[in-house]
Amino acid sequence: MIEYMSKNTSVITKYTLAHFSLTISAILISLILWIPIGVYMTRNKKVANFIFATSNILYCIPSIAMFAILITIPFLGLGRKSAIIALVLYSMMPMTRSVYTGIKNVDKSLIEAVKGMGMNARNIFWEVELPMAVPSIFSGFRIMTIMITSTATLATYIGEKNLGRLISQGLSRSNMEMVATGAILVSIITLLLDFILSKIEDKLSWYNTNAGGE
Amino acid sequence: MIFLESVTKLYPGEKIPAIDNLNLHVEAGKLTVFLGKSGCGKSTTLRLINRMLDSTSGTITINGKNIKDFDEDSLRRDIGYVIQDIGLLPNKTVEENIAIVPKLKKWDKEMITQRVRDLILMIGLDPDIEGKKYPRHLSGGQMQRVGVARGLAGNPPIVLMDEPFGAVDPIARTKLQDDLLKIQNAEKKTICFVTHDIDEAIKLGDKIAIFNEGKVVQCDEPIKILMRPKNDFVKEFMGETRVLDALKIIKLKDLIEDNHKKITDENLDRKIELNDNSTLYSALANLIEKNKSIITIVDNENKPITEVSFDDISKYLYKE
Ligand SMILES: Nc1ncnc2c1ncn2[C@@H]1O[C@H](COP(=O)(O)OP(=O)(O)OP(=O)(O)O)[C@@H](O)[C@H]1O
Ligand SMILES: [Mg+2]
Repeated sequence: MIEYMSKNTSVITKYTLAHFSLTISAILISLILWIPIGVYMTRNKKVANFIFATSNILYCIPSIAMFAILITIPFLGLGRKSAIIALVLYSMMPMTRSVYTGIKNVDKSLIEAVKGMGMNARNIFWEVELPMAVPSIFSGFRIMTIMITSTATLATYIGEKNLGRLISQGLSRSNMEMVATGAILVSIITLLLDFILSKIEDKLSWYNTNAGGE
Repeated sequence: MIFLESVTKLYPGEKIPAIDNLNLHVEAGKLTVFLGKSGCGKSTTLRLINRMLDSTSGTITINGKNIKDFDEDSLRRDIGYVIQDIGLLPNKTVEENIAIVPKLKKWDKEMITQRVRDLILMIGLDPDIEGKKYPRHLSGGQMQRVGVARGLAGNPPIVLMDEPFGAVDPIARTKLQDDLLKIQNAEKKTICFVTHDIDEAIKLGDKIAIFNEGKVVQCDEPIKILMRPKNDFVKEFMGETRVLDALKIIKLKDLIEDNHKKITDENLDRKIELNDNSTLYSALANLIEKNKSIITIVDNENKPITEVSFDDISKYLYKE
């Protein structure tokens, strides 16, 4: 396997970078989309119920099926667009939920106190609700990051040239070293990310005993 | 200063109004205690004053201006608000918590730093130690202090305090009360202070407003509440030893100023030394202890000043 890796460094590097670029795009889009929506859910019960239901359904669709459905949509087709959309849709559940619970769990007496001191809704959001929700939001971010990094592997079946490709090609060529390289790299990256993110999460939750993930 | 006129508050979905045609005048520069049983509407009244709640009917004015004509948020920035749960922000240090209102009022940086330092000192903490701490590193009593400091930070002419010392042990509580009185002596705020502790009300209040079923039954000086209860409710509420409580708040020197008497008997065996804090309560205790009906009052050099009898005490009580 070492031998395989040293012989194919450039391909492996290329696949790893492609893996990261897909993952990072999906994460960024998810953050931009789901954090504001999560916040909006705390202000509007109907929207909250709708998003909860939708995200749960989406989260339950098996990845292969999700990719398959998306590529049949004409303007998406095979390739990166479908891959990103699939990953962003999966992120809806962990992200919106962590934002929603983070804000909803802020101690009511805190809100009462700062409102009584003359903070308006905007002050309260930026200075109290959001900072207090950070630990919960971050735990959603961690779950999403790990989920996207590992699920991105499967995007190889719709044309992504990433670490998943080492596994899928390795399987079709019965090249076990190639399969192992892909599998081990993905696993190491995921575990490492999880380790780092969990360390940060511990640091973040020091001040906050009420909020935090479920 | 603050006038509540025929104020009624009916919570949505409730049948009985929490506040029922309530009238109250809160005087400027005084500490008015809202005293009453649980559920009688004390907190609701506070929250009506700073518009955390809107009244169903009636008017509330501050310095003659209807509170509905104020901008809600700026009204609240000029009314300090201290709640029992304190509500210190756990992600901000003590300094930052105290600075919240000054920041909202857009004071300049130096002025905020100075005000925050002054307040931390005033509540008996160290700006360079406790000031930098997060609330979770403070004791319960220290948190209450910071809550009070935060309520005063924006220099509000009015401060609303909802059972601010409810959650601390009796010793810390006594200390907090003493400190509040000191602060109030210096700052002369118009304070509405909610409690259901009669002793606390007598100790702190310039005036006590007795609440019952959403109304103010009587609002008077503590001594009047104790000695001239307006009806049976107030009488019973203040308890059967209310006369003794009244003795605790009347200064012996006030009685002496009022009735100077010749000394009839210089038997110094039954003397009591007069100092600024002597009350009729201690005079009475001495009378009982020595089993006499007259006692000699001496100054701090043991020189007799006057005499006080049991009759003097009870007459003075009812004179108020
Ligand atoms: N949000 C609310 N909705 C409906 N009813 C309420 C609400 N808040 C208070 N009440 C009712 O209004 C009445 C007055 O409540 P309030 O909190 O003002 O009493 P309180 O005198 O402060 O009592 P406590 O000493 O227990 O704090 C009570 O009967 C209470 O049940
Ligand atoms: Mg209350």
